[in-house]
This record gives sequence, C-alpha cells and structure tokens, in this order.
Amino acid sequence: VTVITLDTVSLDINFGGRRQSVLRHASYAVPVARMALIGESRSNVVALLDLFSRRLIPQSGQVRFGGRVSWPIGHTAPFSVAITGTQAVSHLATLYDFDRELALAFLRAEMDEPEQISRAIASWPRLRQTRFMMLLALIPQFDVYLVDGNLVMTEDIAFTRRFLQMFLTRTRGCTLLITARQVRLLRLMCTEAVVLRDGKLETMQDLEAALALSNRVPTVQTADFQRDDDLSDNDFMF
Amino acid sequence: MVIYSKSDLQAARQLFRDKQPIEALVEARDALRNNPDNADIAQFIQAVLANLNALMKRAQREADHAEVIRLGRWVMFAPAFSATAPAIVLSAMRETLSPAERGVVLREWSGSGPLPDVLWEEAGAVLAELPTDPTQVAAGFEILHHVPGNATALIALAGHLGALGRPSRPDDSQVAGLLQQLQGRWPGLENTPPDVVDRKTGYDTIRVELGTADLRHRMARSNFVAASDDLITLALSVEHAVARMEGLFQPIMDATVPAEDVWALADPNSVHYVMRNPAPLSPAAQQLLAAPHPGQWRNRHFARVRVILSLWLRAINFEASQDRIGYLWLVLDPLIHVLIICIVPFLLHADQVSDMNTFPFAIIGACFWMTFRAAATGALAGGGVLKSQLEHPAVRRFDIMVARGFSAIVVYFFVGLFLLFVNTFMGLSGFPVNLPLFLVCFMTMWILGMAYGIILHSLVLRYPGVRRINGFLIRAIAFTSGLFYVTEQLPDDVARLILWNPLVHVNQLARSYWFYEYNTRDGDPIYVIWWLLAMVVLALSCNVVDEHRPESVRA
Repeated sequence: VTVITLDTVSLDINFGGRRQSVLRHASYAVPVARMALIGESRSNVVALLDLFSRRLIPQSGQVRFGGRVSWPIGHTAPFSVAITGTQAVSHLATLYDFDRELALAFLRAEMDEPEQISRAIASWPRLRQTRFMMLLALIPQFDVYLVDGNLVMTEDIAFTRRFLQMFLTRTRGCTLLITARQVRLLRLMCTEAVVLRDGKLETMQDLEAALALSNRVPTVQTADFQRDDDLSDNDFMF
Repeated sequence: MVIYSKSDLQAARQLFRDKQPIEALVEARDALRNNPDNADIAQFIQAVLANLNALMKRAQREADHAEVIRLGRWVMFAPAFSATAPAIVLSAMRETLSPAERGVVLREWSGSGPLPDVLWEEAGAVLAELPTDPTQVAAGFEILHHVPGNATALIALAGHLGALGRPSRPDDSQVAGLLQQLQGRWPGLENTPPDVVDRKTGYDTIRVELGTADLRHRMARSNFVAASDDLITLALSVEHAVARMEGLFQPIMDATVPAEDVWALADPNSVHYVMRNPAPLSPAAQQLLAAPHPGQWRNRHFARVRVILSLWLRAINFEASQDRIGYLWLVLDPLIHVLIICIVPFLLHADQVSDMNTFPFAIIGACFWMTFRAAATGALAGGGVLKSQLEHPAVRRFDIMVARGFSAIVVYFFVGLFLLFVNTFMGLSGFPVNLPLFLVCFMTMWILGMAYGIILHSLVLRYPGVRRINGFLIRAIAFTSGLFYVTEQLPDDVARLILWNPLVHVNQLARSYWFYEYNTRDGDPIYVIWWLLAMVVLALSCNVVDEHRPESVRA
C-alpha cells in the first residue's frame, strides 16, 4: 500500500537566486510506515516536504496522492498569531473538514487556561502557543503525517506525555515522515529512512547509516526566505 | 472595606518601568489583595511574571545562578510557569548552595505558598545533610506531610531522632497494625492505582485518629522537648507505615508518573513509554481519536469555494487585528477613499454630467475603479499575508489570490450600495434601470482587475521591476477609465483613443444600466467580452505556468 507515489518527478527550487535541482526524474512510492526523511541538505528536505504538502508543484512528472496529507507539523508559518484561537480552529475546520465544536471541546480539555482560546494567540505565552499548534495537528485525521519540528519538549514533560500518547494513537497505521530535527526521537520512532540523494529517493533499512549519510554531507543552512512583500491597499489611490 | 485605588497599580507600573519587576510584582499583589476581581491588575501581574520568567531564563543561559534563584523564587509559584520554573531554580540551587543552605531556603519559601513537589523532594533529600536539631526534625515531618512516603526523608528523620536520643526505629508491631489499617482502605491495589490525592487524605485521617497530626506544628514552634517519647515514636511509626504503603504503589507509579528523562516517553522499551500505561483521555479526545476515517476530501468543488471564503475571512481578521478598531477601518477606509474620489467630478462638472446627477455618477465611477484597483493589488501581491497558507495541502496558489481579491468586491459592493441608497434617499437618483446588468458590469470590473493582477504578478516573478511600471500603468488606466467623465463629452479623436481601454466601456455601460437619463453611445459590450475572455485566458495560463516555476523554500 502506498499513499504518495512519485512518477518520474523533476523538482527544482530557487535557492539564493540560483536554480537548484532537488529531484531528477525520480520515481518512488512512499509506503505506510514510520520513516525518517533525510536529505543532502536542509533546503532539499524542506523542498521535499513542500512537494508532499503540495506547496510545490514539480516541473515535470506526476505526484499521486492516495490519502490525506498533513501540513508540515512543527512549521509555525501556517498559523497566524494575530487571530484568536477560535478563529484559527474555524479556519482549519473549513480547510480539513472536521467538526469545529468537537475540536474546540478537545482543545478546551487539553489547554491549561481554556478561556484563553477566544483571545488573540499573540497574547498567549509562548509555551501555550506551541502547545496549541501541536494539539491542532491531532484534530484532522490524515493518512500521511509530515513532521518537521519537535514532538518532544524537554521542558514540558507533562504535556509531552499527553501529546505523544494521543499522537501515537492518532498516527497508528498511518505514514509518518519525520525530519532529523530531533535525532534522538528519530532513533526511537523510526526503523528506516527515505533518503534524498543525487536527485533520487530511496529507502534505507539502516537508519544509522542514513543518519551518518546526512552528517557526512555538509548541510546547507543558509535560508532563502520567501519574500512576503505585499502591496498595501493605501499605496496609491488612482 | 478596602477601596482599591488606581494609584496602586500606577505605582506598580512605574516600578516596572523603572526596571524593578520584583518590587512591581509585590506592589501589584498588594493591590490585587485589596481588589481581587480587578482584571487589569491580574493582567499586569501576568505580564510581570512573564518578564521575570524571561529574565530568569536569560540568567540561566548566562549561568548566573544567584540571579536565577532570586528571580525564580517569584516565578515558580505562578501556575503559568510551574511546569518549568521549579526545575530551573532547583538546578541553580544545586550549583551554588550547600544542602544545608538549600534546606533553609526551601523552608523559608514554604511559607510563601505551596511549594512544588519537586522542591519538597529536594528538601527531603537534603534533610540528611542538615544538622541534627529539633527544628530539622519538625521540617522532616513537614516534608513527609507534603510528600507522603518519601523514604529518603523518613530515613533522615529517623537518623535525626536517633541522634537526639529518641527511638529511631519504629516498633514493628505498630507498623504492621498501621499497615493493615492503611491497606484496608484501598482494595484491589494490585490492579488499579488509587488516586494519590485519595491516599494523602487517607494518611491524614490516620494521623488525626492516632493523634500525631499536629505534632509537626508543635515541633515547628520548637516545642520538641514537650512532645512525649511515645508520641514521637508513634508518629514515626505512622510515617514508616505510610512509606511502606507507598512502596507497594511504586511499580505502578513508575509506569504512570512522568519520567524524569522525557525521551523515555517515546522509547517502546522503557517502562515510561506512553503507550505502555496510557493515561485516561478527556471525553472529547476519546471521541476525536475514535472517529472513523473521513475518507478522501469531500465535495471538492464546493469545498474550494469554502476554502476561499475561509482564507478571505482569515485575511480580514488578520487585517482587523492590526488596530484596536480594525473592523471599523475595514469599512471606513474604502468609504473615505470613494468619497475623496467623488470630489473630483464635482470640481469638473458641477451638478450634472450628461444629464446624470454628479454624485451618483461619481459614486459608480469611484466604486468601479476601486474594485478594479483593489482586486488587481490583491492578486498582484500573490496572496500577500496569505502566502504562508500554502503550507496547508488544501490550499492552492489560485485560492489565496482570489481570496485576497475577494475583499475588493465585497467591500466596494457594500460601500457603493450604501452610498447609492443615501443618494436615492436624498432624491438625487432613482432606482436602477437594469439592476442585473449593472451587477454584471460590476462583476466584470472585478474579474478584469483580478486578471490584470494575476498577469502582472506573473511578470513580476520574471522581472520585479514590473511593479514600478505598474505604478505608472495603473494611473494611466485610472485616468482613461471614465472615472470622471463619459467619452461622449470628449472630442472624437481623444474619445477614440480612450475607448481602447475596456474599463471605460464597462463604466459607461454600468451608468447606462443605472440612469434613465443616460444611454451610452460609445460603450460596447462585445468589446468588453473579448477583453474579458482574453484577460481571463491569459491570467489562467500565467497561473498554470507559474505554479510550475521553481519556488523558494523556507529552509
């Protein structure tokens, strides 16, 4: 059973003003398993996540989805802190087609100060914001979970315990692709890896060998942030 | 009755501004004590605590242990920080203070509020290191009261009692009897761990029954000598029995209490693995996790519309959140824009333009033009603040562009509707001649704006300087769009040139469909349709091509 199938896919990204190849006529079928997602560089791994979450569309080839794919869990960008928690839940309920009232009941039960959910997320402490964003990932039911963040919060053991219990229950029988943000967790949760190397994807049964591969290749950490330039509505009248 | 004075809070705020957060906190707490329901003070206290927490973490990073202890002493009692602050403070204390000093400090702090369990545990651990005297014996009993079954504290306490010449070992027969009593309260111990609160209540009941409950209070008053040997022996026996009772729970507790090493929670081979002994979940969580799989995305086409509307609402909420009266500005801003534009036709034409009243004439022109411009700007920004939403697999690039442009049609439709209603009320204009066709013109203007924006956005991706060109281009379009005039008024040569602009056709057709007094001679619906088709096809083509362009990634 496969949930994401790549058929001779070529994917390029714009990196520092240059065109960089991530995949070259790559074919691969992502199986139903818990796998580490390891690449030659951080930008390539993020590009792959973006491909799976449909933010990027390949230049050639086809990506077929056999189920629902999550957003990259751990990315904060899709969540604006300017809106209230209730507004964020309503928005996600529309995007992912889940029961809004049940989701709110769930969040009220799990959050430390439930009444705060109707206030702007920006007014919450950082810890509560993080908890909220992690709990949101438990609400929609996906077939593929993309994880690019910390699932274990070393300073918040009680929450980590509750979250992991629910996350592992939720992801049972699903595909889990985890990037090497928390290598220790990767070792505990995954037994094999999807490795992106030389423009191709392959499965490596030996997780340690895959991790060693990621260590050997120098990681490109220079981020090339997307410009968020937005023209103001007040820039000119005519 | 104490009357709350605003000056208390102001004084606290001033102290906070003077970079004296602890003093500000004390002042604010005093003010809150006088007026416990005041939300402002409570909010201020939370802000100060957050600041202290941040300062404490900075001190921790800088290994300034004394500062961590000084600040943490205030932060750790706050519920918002009780999960992390005690561990940070404890770590700093271990770095700088001897066990005896730690014991003294913890004892002092216990008077400020309920100490976190982790600190009581520490107090028990340091008890053995403290000098033997009645005060420490009293402290030992207090620790056992808060952390029943703390074997380390019990052993240390027995050691102190022995050193003071009191019996250090409780009588076995007494212990056996007490254990029997304790066990009788929790049947089925081997299967289900009773709640720790229940156990504590049970221990306290036994202490009261046997008369040892207030021993620690008497000892705290340094009245140790007054306590009889028998009573101390009995108290020690009780605590020893409690410790043994807790020992029976230990295997269960090992698997249920949070692990000290958080990674063990995710380790399938660990006794602390979260799935080994899962904790009970809330009813909502159970319902959520047990829900059947929803299958593939449903109602794709209808869902697309809902996604766009939700994105639009999100953009609206975001924009409104930037200002205290943000929602009001969402309406006021376009309304003022339209009214300002309406001044120009009055300067040019006085009361009437080709038999049309100038005010409704100007409103139609301004609303149509602003719809075009706002739609174009939204699409040209490529989604703007909504770009980050592309990380949701359900959101397409086209959706966020339409959602951004959607504000234009909604806002200017209602602004125009309101102003035209005012016009009708003032008798300056009647009802429209053909409302459906008028609305078609309005929608056409919006689609043209969206298409223009999408095409320009595509060009901007190839050459960013197109933004500058757009600045000039859009002004040229504005002045040739029939915003302030109709082409029938102009000389033929000029009119022929201006009629290349499809917007002037749309504007004049719209005015024809609104006013009885005006019927356009130059406005050509066929010309508009051709433009519309060409622009839409070109915009959709640009969108398809752009989707496949190499994008930047957030590495």
